[in-house]
Amino acid sequence: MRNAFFVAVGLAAACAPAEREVATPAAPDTAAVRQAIQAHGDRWAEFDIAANAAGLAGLHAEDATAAFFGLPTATGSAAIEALFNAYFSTTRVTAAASAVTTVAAPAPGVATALGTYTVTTDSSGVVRTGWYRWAAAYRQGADGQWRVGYIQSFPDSVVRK
Amino acid sequence: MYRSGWAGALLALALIACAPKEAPVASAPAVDTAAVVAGVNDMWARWAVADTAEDLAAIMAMMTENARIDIRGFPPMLGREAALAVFQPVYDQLDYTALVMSPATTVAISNDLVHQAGAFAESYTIKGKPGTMTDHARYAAAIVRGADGQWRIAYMMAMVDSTVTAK
Repeated sequence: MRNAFFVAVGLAAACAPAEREVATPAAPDTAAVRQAIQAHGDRWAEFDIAANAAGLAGLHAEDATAAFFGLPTATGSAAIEALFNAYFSTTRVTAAASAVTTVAAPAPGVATALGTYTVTTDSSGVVRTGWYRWAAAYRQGADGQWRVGYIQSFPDSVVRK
Repeated sequence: MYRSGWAGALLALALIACAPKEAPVASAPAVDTAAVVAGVNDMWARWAVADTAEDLAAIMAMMTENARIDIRGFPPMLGREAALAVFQPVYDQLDYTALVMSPATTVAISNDLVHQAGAFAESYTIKGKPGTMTDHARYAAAIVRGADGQWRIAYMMAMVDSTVTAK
């Protein structure tokens, strides 16, 4: 999808009329990207609480890779959905919150972000709250939606509780 | 995910086919993916040498001044000094004998910025004790090329969990 975007940009640049000045892509609006990424994280938490594996998979690009601590790396939204389905079969999420701490938008349609995730789970009556650090790369689709292309996260044993 | 070469070829064809005959259109320089990948691979090769040589100065030089490193079990490291404060005690205790980097995806955002994710295996002994251990880890990194042409880590997240990547 990202490549198609760049090809489209290239075509537009190459085929523009000679007399018209070719507009270079506008610099990404980092504040807007940050807002979109935070909204993405908010939806993630909502889907997590709702045990909505399909919804969570939909927050990822078709060819996304997810590397969560203790689980095999999953590539592709179907594999990611299966990962979440397996998780929800044993665990109920009762509270979750994602907080974006850092966002970079190095090129149009491309962003990276770091953040934290706090989640309270109930697994066979055992209630736990976990703290995580995550890093992710996002791509903006033709529909304007930002989706995860890559994400890694691990439980944060050094977080101040 | 790593199809920059393919996209670059299409882009080049499109530019050749449609470029105006008059003055060339100014645009961002084309991404030389092969050169970018070679530069990053070279950095990892030097990192592996420095790792097994316990050359922390060389490792620090392969991070940007304000690099951020997130490794499970350690607080976020912001800048070289913070990284050195975490790395030094580890290298004091362990003798690294091998580091094998296995990038899985490399995305050249530009000629000066790469996003990369993959796995690595790092073998070591505990100083003064027999037996070699190997950690298997996964990582994600943003790697940038400085004005001096050197590639350095601007960001890296890594977790040692010995989880084998699903086939």
